[in-house]
This record gives sequence, structure tokens and C-alpha cells, in this order.
Amino acid sequence: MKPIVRIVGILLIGIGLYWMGTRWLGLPSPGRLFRPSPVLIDETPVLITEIKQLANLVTIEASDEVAVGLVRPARGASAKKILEWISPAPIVTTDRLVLVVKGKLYAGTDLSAVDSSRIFIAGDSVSLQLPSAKILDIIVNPSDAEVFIEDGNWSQEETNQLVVSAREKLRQRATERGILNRADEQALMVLHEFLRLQGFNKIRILTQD
Amino acid sequence: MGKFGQYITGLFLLVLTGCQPTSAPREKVMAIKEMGALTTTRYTLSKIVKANDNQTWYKIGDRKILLSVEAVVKAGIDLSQLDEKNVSANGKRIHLILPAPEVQSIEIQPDKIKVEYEEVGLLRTGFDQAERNALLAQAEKQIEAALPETGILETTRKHTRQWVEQFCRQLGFEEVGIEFIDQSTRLP
Repeated sequence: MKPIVRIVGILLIGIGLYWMGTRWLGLPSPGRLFRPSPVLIDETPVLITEIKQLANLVTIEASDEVAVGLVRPARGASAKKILEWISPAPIVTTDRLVLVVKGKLYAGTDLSAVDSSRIFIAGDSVSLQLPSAKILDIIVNPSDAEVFIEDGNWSQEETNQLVVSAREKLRQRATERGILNRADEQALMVLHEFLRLQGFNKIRILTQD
Repeated sequence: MGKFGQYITGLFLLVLTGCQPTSAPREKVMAIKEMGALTTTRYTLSKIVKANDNQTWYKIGDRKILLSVEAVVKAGIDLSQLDEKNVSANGKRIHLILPAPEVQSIEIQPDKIKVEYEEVGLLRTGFDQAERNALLAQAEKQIEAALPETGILETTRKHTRQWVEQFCRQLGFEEVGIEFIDQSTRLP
């Protein structure tokens, strides 16, 4: 038998045995063998740095999604920079970072500002003056931020800045859609019900505006 | 074609193949939900996120990252769950059975995420933003899992009781009794 035929035969038998091993003996397939293992974080303790007492009546939850991006001239010795150097015509290459950010926005009333001077009681009648509703929280977590385009090396500070701008965009969109008026209306309804349950029959609630 | 022409054609092809067509991501329409939650507690938590990418056998060299994060957790009660069965008022006396305290939101503050240390071997690439986000998402889950140990629900009970009692006193009640539905001794 020619040596080449023997080598091919041994190779085929080897491949066949490996294939059977992946099917029945649990050997890793070539795809799995070269698949990178996921990077897992270590268990570390959580430290409490501050505890604060609040009295916020949250009346509206708005879920929204915005896209934000940053563009800057390409930095460092990247392939783009090399292209800039070798190009006979002047060209400017850029790095881009685009995030699609999902956020939750909470609006409501700060009840800690409601003191005795804003409450008037006479028998079963009550009158209450509430501060105007405001945006209490805009929640944007890393698990809610999808990296849509990432060209070049972006520092964590630059990304943080981009997420902060996404929060601003979420605030702007919510304000434009009259979320604060809706939060005011809902606060009146919730507190009206709360006071009714306490036995008040004539209830008058006003917001500052 | 002269050498200059070949150079220009090569450069043109390089630019053409280097361009990736990308369309702008679509933004979804806002969804609005009405609610009536009373938030009484805010916890600020800090955590170190430690990761070492050394589990892939064919990758040579170290790749480690250490991030510090700060999370804000808010807790309170759902005031809209309160109904006639949970409130009994008699003259200057009132007794309320409040809904059980719950965690309302967890946020990793975007402006408080810092890379404290990063070590990348010569043959490895650094952590890109998508990878850092994936690590932070794991940290988010660990923080959520660790919340019962922080005693946030007990603190929320205390804060809620204080505020509701004070509010009821402002409304003219002299005797205020407060219980939580998950610890109530009375039948609702």
C-alpha cells in the first residue's frame, strides 16, 4: 500500500473515532473546543455606605428607550490611523460609540415637604396642599444598555458620560409628553383615596401650581 | 495602469471594504404606567467587581479587570393596595394594616462606575464596552441577590411606620396603630 493512502486512511479513522467520541463519549466538538469561556465575576461583598429616609409618592412609571452616540477623531495606532497616514488625500477617520439605552423613569410627589402648615382639618373635611410632581428617578442599568456600535477604544468615563446623556434624553422626552401633569393627577387620586379610607368625607387636594 | 493608479485603486478598495453599512437604531415608544408607591428608604451600596478571563485554554496571557460601582436601592410600600379592610378609624383613633415593604428599584449609578485596575497581556485585547457591560450586569444580579442581607426591608418598615404615623397625627389622629400585612396579627 502506498504511504499516502495509509496516512489518509489513519486520518479518516482518527476523524471517525473523534466524531463518535463527540457524539457518545461527551468529547468537546471542534466548535466547543475553540469557543471562549464566558468571563464570570467573583463573589464580592456589598457594603452599605448610606441609608436615607424618604417620603416620595411615586405615581408614574414610564419605560422608554433612546439611542445615544459619541464620535471623535480616531486615536492611537489603529488601522484607521494608519489609513490616515498612508492616504495621499487628507482624510479624517473617526471612532464611534452608539448605545441603545432602556430606562425607567419615575415621577411623583415629595411628601416630606407636606407639613402641618399645608393641612387644614375641620370635622370630616380636609384640605391638603401638595408640592408639584417632579421626576424622582431615572433608572438606567448596565443590563439595559446595549452596545450597538463600538469603533475604537472607549474608556469607562466616556461611556458613563454617554449614559448620563441618555438619562437626560429620557428626562426630556418624558417632560415633553406631559408626564408631570399625569403624575400630579395620579397623586391627587391616590391621596384622595388614602384620606377617604381614613374617614374624611370632604376632601380637597391642591397642587402648588 | 501606472503605479500611482494601482495605489489609488488599492486605497479605494480598502476604504470601500472598510465601510460598514449601519442603520440608526430605532427607539421604541414610551410606555406609561400609573401607580401609587410610597418610597421611604434609600440605600447606597458599593461593590468591587473582580473578573479574570483565564478560563479559555488557548488564550495566552493575563486579562484581568477590577471595577468599583455604586448602587442606589429604593424600597417602600404599594399604597394603592390599601383598601377598606386595612383601615379602621374611630374618632381620634386609627389602625392601619399596610402592604408589605418591597424593593422598588435598583440602579448602578452610571457616573460612579470606575475602572480601578486593568491588566492585559501582550497577546490579549483589552475589555471593550460590551464586555464591561456584561460584567456590570452580573454585578447587578449579585447586588439584587445580596439585598436581604442588608436589612433594607426592616429599615423600610421602620421608615414607613414613622412617616405614616406622623402623617396621621398631622391629620388629627391622636392614637395611631400600624401593622404590616405580612406580620399582622389581625385578620384583614
